[in-house]
Amino acid sequence: MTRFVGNFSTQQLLPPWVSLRAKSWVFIIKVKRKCLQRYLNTHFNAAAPDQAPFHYEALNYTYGLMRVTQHPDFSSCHNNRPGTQTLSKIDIDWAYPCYRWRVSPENIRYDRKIVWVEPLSFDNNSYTMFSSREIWGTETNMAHIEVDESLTRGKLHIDMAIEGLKKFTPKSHSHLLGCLHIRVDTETQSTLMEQIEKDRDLAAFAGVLFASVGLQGQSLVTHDSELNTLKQFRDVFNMKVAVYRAIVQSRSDHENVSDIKIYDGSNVKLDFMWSQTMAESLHRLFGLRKKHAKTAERGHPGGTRSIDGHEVDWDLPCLNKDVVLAASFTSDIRYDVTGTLHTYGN
Amino acid sequence: MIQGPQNIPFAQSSDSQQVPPPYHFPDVTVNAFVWPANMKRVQAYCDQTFNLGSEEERGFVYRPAAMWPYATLLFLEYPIMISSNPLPQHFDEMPYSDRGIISQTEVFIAVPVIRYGTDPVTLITETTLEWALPFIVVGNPMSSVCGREMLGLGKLLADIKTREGRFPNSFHGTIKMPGWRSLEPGAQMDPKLKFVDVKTNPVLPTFRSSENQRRSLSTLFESREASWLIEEMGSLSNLVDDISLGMIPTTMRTVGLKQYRDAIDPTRAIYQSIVTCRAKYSNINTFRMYDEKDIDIEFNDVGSFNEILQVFLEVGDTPSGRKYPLTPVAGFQFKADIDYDQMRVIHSFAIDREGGLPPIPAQSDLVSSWARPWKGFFGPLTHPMRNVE
Repeated sequence: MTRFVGNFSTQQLLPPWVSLRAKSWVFIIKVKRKCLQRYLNTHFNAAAPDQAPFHYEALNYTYGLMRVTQHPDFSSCHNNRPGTQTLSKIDIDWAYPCYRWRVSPENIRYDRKIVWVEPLSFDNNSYTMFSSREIWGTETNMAHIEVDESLTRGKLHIDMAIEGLKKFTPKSHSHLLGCLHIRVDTETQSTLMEQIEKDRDLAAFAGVLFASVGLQGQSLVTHDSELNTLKQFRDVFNMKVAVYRAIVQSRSDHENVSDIKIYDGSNVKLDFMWSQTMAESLHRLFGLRKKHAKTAERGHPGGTRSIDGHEVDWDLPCLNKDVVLAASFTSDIRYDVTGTLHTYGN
Repeated sequence: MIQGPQNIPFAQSSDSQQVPPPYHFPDVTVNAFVWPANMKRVQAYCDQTFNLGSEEERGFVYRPAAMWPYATLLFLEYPIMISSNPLPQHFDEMPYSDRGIISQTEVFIAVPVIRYGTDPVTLITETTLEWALPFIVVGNPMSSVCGREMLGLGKLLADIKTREGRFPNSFHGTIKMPGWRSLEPGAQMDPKLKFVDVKTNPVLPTFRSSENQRRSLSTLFESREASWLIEEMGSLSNLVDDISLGMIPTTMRTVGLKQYRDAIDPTRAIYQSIVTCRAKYSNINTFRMYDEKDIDIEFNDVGSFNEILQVFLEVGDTPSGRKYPLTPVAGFQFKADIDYDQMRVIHSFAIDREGGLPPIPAQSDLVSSWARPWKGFFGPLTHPMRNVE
């Protein structure tokens, strides 16, 4: 076995991770099927150079989840030592379920299973950002995130900013750019039945979603919460080549789920801020286009705001994305790596 | 020649923050502080980080540089950082060099180490001076990700403040970074725990000196000959790399261990190699010294910081929970242009793999920089860009 040399810069949070009393907000967004399939094709279905014995396929009900999770007590439980390297953080990710087929050497697909993928991920704690990237393979970016429930009574306000470039020109200077803004009217709640009666696809998606969350009294074994990530690292002198590339399998189990609240999508305003740094992601993952940015209103919908005391540039086109349904809940979450499904370059 | 790993393509994500090397950093302000390092501790760091496996298998051994038994703390302020790679990563993509620039502050502690070849021939052709960076922090997340995932530099993200101190032309630098005051389970991370604080009086000559400046090392540089030497070092910096075999620190060849954990068993490495890069300092100007007797450096020996302080300070095996004051033997400031290039994997360690996969054998490309043109003349070309072919 090649021993990993632990040192100061790799004092990472080793899995499994445990988050106690995590507060989650989930926003269901409908996107085009090609947006879901494109990421699966480039990251999981492509030959690299060998083909993984799996095929990933987008579901027919083309929804995904924008998840915002506030972790007041997040730690490593490695070697059964709970509470190791405890920290607090907020993360935001875009995740959706898809079918994963096994593929035989004869190219026959069988054994279909629903798994989740996470093409976009942000974290406001650098330790977990490095650990996510270097252990799990999630391509997490550092962000400044603020979740404010006290700003206006009955309104939840979420802001996120990242270091980036407004426009790509040789003289552009990287700075803190607004990236995401969400506002929820939390006083007007809805019920799930009301919402899924309006949309049959949403009912199917809600079924997948609930299968991935362990409600109180449910056995953890029955959950379908598998997440697949592409773990890869670049070569030092050829940026197009990876020195390691593998599909990693993990799962997240929610326990003690409580305080569930459902909100109608019409009570949520979710805006992406268009910058050239984010443009490609917004186009490829959400189908937003530059032409939408040209006609969009500019600026932070609630005025200029700083995050964590850092000045943020919100003078950017603000592109609204409709939210179908939103929910919030509190839970304890355990994140486990369960295997490496395929290592490329055999 | 180190062969690439079966030409595995990297799946480029649209929001990737990894900027391709090489890099050009003009007009960098550098504040540097030098103190004696404990050679035993540096040797222990070399053994733990670079001298992995047996000497026969590796064919090299890292030792501290006995002729320069010092550690150097450097604060670098980069007003502009540019990727000087003009090529696009994909055929329809704008090159990173045309996208814009970033600014940041970086702090690292550099310890000179010498890599010796282990037989009579390689002792001559493969022995070279390199700089290990056991501690490196940056203020920009893109820089930290690039450093960690491409260059094998363990860059952590920190809140770095550099400013003029109480007096004109003085320096005050502070690093705050995520850390734990206690290693006990349940102790919460402090996202801005102070790691080090550096304060100086004005650069010399100054009347704000606490002691007789004639007793200071810096008085050496008041002599015409020494001043001339500094200036000449700057103007000759393009030549010194060629004639000094990399021994003059205007060219620093950094060395780092690039490694990644297995997801299932994080004590196992799925990739492990020694990477060197060249940091070439040119156009060195405004070189000024501080009176070393008026430099106050205080490291914070608490919780999770103790591990790294053990490498370059005489701290105990357990955190004292107190400030560790340090008196340097020299401190100076200068401006320079820095080019960061010539990234090279000089040795990749053998990797055992699971699931019936064949192991990846160890490979080496250890020829020192001065001997590389000769090797190219007499042997096959081993330019880094060709390594993957």
